[in-house]
Amino acid sequence: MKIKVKVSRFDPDKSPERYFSEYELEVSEGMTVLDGLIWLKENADPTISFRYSCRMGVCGSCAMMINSYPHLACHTQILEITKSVLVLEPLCNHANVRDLICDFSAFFEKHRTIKPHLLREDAEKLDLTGEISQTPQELESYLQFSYCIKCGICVAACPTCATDKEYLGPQALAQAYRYTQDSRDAGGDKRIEAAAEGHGIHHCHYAGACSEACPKGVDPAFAIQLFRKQMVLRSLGLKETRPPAGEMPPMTLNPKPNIPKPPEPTIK
Amino acid sequence: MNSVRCWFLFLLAGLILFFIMAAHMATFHLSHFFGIHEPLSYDSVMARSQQALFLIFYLIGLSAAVYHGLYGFRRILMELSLGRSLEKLVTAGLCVAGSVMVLVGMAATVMAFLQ
Amino acid sequence: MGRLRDNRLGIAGWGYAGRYGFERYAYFFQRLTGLGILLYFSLHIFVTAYRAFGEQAWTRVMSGVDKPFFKLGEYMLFMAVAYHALNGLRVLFSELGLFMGKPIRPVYPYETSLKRQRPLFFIVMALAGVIIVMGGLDLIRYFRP
Repeated sequence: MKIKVKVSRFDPDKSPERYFSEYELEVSEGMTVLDGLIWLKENADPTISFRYSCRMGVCGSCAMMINSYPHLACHTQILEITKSVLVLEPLCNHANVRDLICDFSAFFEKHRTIKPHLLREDAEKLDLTGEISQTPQELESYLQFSYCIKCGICVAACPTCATDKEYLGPQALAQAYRYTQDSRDAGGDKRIEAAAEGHGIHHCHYAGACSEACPKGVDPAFAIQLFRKQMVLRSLGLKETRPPAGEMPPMTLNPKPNIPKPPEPTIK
Repeated sequence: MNSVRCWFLFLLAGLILFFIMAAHMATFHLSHFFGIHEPLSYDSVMARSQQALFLIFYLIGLSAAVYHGLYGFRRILMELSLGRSLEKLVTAGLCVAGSVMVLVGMAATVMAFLQ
Repeated sequence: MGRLRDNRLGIAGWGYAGRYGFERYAYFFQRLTGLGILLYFSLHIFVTAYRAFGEQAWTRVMSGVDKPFFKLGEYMLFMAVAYHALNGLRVLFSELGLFMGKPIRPVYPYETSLKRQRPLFFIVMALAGVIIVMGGLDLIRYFRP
C-alpha cells in the first residue's frame, strides 16, 4: 500500500521557519514509522534528520509527533495509525534543533534538579561489597516509575509545559517520587523542596495526558499525585521520616576448596 | 514546605466551598425545588443576613472563595512564563485585590448583620 | 542558542494537543469555568454589598439585573459552578492519591491510574448533568411562573 508521508523540516542555516516535505512510501504490514523514515532517508531524501538508536522502544531517542500524537517512532506501526497520510513533526513543548530532532538539554537539566539518585548521609560509610535490604512490597511501590526512558513524550503531552518554560515537567516530578519512595533513600526532604517551590509540582492539575501517552506505562501523573499525598502528610507531620534501609552483610557461602580467593578491594 | 501548606489550604478551601456553594446555589438557582420564595427580595436577603449562622457561613465562604479563586488564578498566571519580576508583581497585586475583596465583603456582611 | 526553534504549543495547547482522554479536556474546562466564576464572584461581592445600605439601594441594584439576559448569564454561572465543584471534588481526591489504586508493574498493554479513577469521573459528570437539568427547570419557572 502506498501512503503519503509529510515530514516537518527545519534548518536554521537556511530559514528560521519550518516547512513540510512530502514523500511517497510503500507500506507493508508491521512496518514501523522508524522503518519508514529509514527507508525514506536511504531511498528518497538523505537530508531528513531524525534521532534513533535502539529501534525497539528501549532508548527513547525516536520520540516524535506522529499524526499529532507524541509517540516513539519505533513503537508505532504505520498501518495502525493511518492508511493515507502520515504527518511527522518534532515533539512539541521542546526546542527544535533540526527536522525531527529536539534539544533535550533543558529537559535533562530539570531532571538533574530533583537529584535522581539515592541520597543518604551514610553513603561514604557503607560497605560496598554489601547489599541494602528491600522487601518486594517496597520495590513494588516505586518500580513502575523507574521504567522511565527519558524520551520526553510526557512533556510533549503536558498542557502546563505548553506555556510554562520553567515547569519541571512530568518526567522530573515522577522521578522525584520514584527516588523519594525508594526505601534505600533518605533525601525526601531535599527533593520535596526542589519539587514544591516555584514552577514545581503545584502546576500539575492531573490532566493525565502524560500517563496516557507514556510509551513505557510509567504513569507519571500517578507518581506526581502520590508524591503530593506524601508532601501533604509530611508537612502536616502525619508521616514520620523513616531512616533509610540498612545494609545487609554479604551472604556467607562455603566456597569450594579449589576456587581462588577474590582480589583485595581496591577502594578502602 | 510552605508552598505545600498553601496548596493544601487551597484544596481545603475548595472542599469547604463545595458544601457552602451547594447550599448557596440551591437557595438561588434551585429555589423552586426547596420551596424558597423570592430568595432575592430585600426582606428575604436581610432575614438571612441577620442570623448568626448565616454570618458565620458568609464570612467563612467569602474568605475561602477569595483564597481559592485567587490562588487558582495565580497558578494560571504563573504558567505563562512571565519572568521573576512580573511574577512578584502579580503575587503582590493579587494579595492587594484579595484583601480589598475580603474587606469589602466582610464589612457589608457585618453591617447587614448589625442593622 | 538562538538557532533553536521554540516548539511550545502556547495557550492553545491547554485546550487541544492531540487525541487525549476526557481528563485533559476536563482540566481545560475546570480552568475556563474557574476563571468565569472568579470574574462573576469579584463583581458579586461589590453588588451584594448594597444590601448593607438599605432597601432602596438593594432594589435599585437588583432591578438592574432582573432581566432575561442576566438570568441566562446566571444560569451559565450555575452550570459552571456545578461542573467546577463536582469535577474539582474528583481532582481533589485524585491529587491526594485516592481512588487510584496502587502502582502496578507496567505490563503491555499498559493500564494507568486514569483508567482506575474514570468511574469516579463518570459519576461526578452524571451528577453535574442532573444538577444542571434541575437548574434549567428552575429557570423555566422564572420565565413562566
